[in-house]
Amino acid sequence: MLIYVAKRLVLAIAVLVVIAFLLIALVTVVPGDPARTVLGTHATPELMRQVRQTMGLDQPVWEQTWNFLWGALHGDLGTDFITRAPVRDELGRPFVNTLVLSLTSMILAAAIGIPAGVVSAVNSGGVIDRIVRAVSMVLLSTPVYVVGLVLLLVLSVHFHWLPSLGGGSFSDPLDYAQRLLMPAFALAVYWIAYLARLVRSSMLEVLEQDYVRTSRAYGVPESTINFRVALRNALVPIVALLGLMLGYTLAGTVYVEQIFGRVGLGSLALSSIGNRDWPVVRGVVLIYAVAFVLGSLLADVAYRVLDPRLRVEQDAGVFV
Amino acid sequence: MSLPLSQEPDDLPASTSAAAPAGLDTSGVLELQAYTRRGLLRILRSVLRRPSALVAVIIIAALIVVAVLAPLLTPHDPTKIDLDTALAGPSSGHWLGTDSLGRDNLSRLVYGARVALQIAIPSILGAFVIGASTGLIVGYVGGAVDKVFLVLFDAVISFPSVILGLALLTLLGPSKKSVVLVIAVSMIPYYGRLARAQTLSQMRNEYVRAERALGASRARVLRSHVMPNALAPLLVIVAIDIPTAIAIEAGLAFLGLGVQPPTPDWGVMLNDGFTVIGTSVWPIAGPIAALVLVTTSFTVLGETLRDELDPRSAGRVRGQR
Repeated sequence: MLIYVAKRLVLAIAVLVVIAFLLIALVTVVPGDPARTVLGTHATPELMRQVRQTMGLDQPVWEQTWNFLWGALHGDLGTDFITRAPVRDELGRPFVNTLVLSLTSMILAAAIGIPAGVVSAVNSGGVIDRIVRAVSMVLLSTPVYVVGLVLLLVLSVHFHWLPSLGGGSFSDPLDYAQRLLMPAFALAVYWIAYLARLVRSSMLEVLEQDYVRTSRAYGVPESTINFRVALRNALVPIVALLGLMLGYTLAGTVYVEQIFGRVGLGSLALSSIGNRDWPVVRGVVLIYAVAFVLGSLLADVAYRVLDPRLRVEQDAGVFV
Repeated sequence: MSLPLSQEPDDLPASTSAAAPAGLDTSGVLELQAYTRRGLLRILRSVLRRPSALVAVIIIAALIVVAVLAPLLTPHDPTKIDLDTALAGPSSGHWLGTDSLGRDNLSRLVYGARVALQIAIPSILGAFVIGASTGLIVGYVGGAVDKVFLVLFDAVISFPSVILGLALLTLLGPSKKSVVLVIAVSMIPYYGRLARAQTLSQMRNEYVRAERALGASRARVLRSHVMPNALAPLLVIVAIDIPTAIAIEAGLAFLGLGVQPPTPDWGVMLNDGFTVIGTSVWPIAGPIAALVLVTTSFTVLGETLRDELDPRSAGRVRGQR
């Protein structure tokens, strides 16, 4: 187990190094010089060289990668081209907003998706099951921005039930929570459908087992079988999934923040792309990638901790 | 954000991660092979016997017909601006009303199908060709090369497509070509890992060893034995991934990063319509409906195909056991 975790950790670090390298290398490969972006088209070659030097662009790619990683490890993500403020300071507040949004959507997804899956599995083949399955099929396919736009259209524009624009501030918690509800739900929809299907199929799988039939024959109440036996088994993969959900909901915030006019990592990335402010984009992308890599690391490890069957054959390693 | 539906078989631990989110485990991929030989026609017939799948096939066929015949079907020029009739509701002249510049929503929607497929098909095909051949070679060669590519694939998968889009489109500038590139790059590692896993499983077969023992060259074994057997089952998955590409494309355009106005594109329409959402729903109603219908249809079709090819999961899904 420890060996597996260690190997998995090495893979995660390797992936992060490659990502950092790609982020740096892209600038040199792709046409368009960041120094040109800052200075405009009429800059003198002398000035260009100076700026390139302060940005570190005159160094070889591997050295830039090293500096970038070393800086990132110490909480330094470079300097914003435009405001000249450290990128880290600019990312702080949006990061908190985005994280709150992601976590809320994960809680919503679990709170709605898991019960839906249970109801579906218990009534397998019935009307409720059919409805849950049909609805989850549609929701699983629908892109997050479509969900967000529909919610906005129905709840804000048509019924005026919820405020549409802006994220509010922490100083007014009630308002903040109210403004969080709709975007978080929009992000959660995919995962509600996903969890409902996952819970349903894993519960049904358990309910097919011989020992369940034996329990029934011995007169164990149906509710005990459903909840103590089947649901408990179904929850294992979900716990392992949480890490992945974090990565994917974070990515979804790019769309959701745009639709609901929230300040966050996603909207920050979009506005800095408009300004071609590469250090900020790079910082945001790095945060997303770290969240994703850590999330899948946690998921893989959690999977093995929770399901001892997987450990036996696959302790051998990350690289099969 | 929707995720690629293609996953690899469970024999890759590092991949439980990337495999899980799509919701549709394709552990049936390996079993697919046995059933492909059953004849595609028979599979198709049994798929069409299910009403939901039949509806899905009809919608997909309609999408293709509409995309191909766009100029013949549209009553108006999709980019013709007429400010006098801006933001009108549905009428006999404009069945779905007009947008903020007075352009015909229906015509834009119809042409949007064309743009969606123009981007989705080449990007998925490109990703498949590059990803599958890389995976095939890497799986066959094995060793350090294999490991390097696994890390590389994992690195790219760690960028959700929208994040990859953010990074690449900042540097490349938005255009149809860059969008195709972004989608292709984000899908390559999925196909790469799938093809690699398939190749590894093929190479465990006795006949591959026998072939080598008989003196066949590596290239010959790879080309005429491993490749067809490893890749044929993946072709179904390629079809299923087209809506993923459509969703990414429209999403990037909606954010203003992808295809640019005035191109009649579903994402561009959403972006335009979003700014006037308080005034008229008609500009975004069309693309919303189109995206939901198309993506759901492909998912239904994919699920049905999978059930047909893997009867074990079918029994479970239908709750017959």
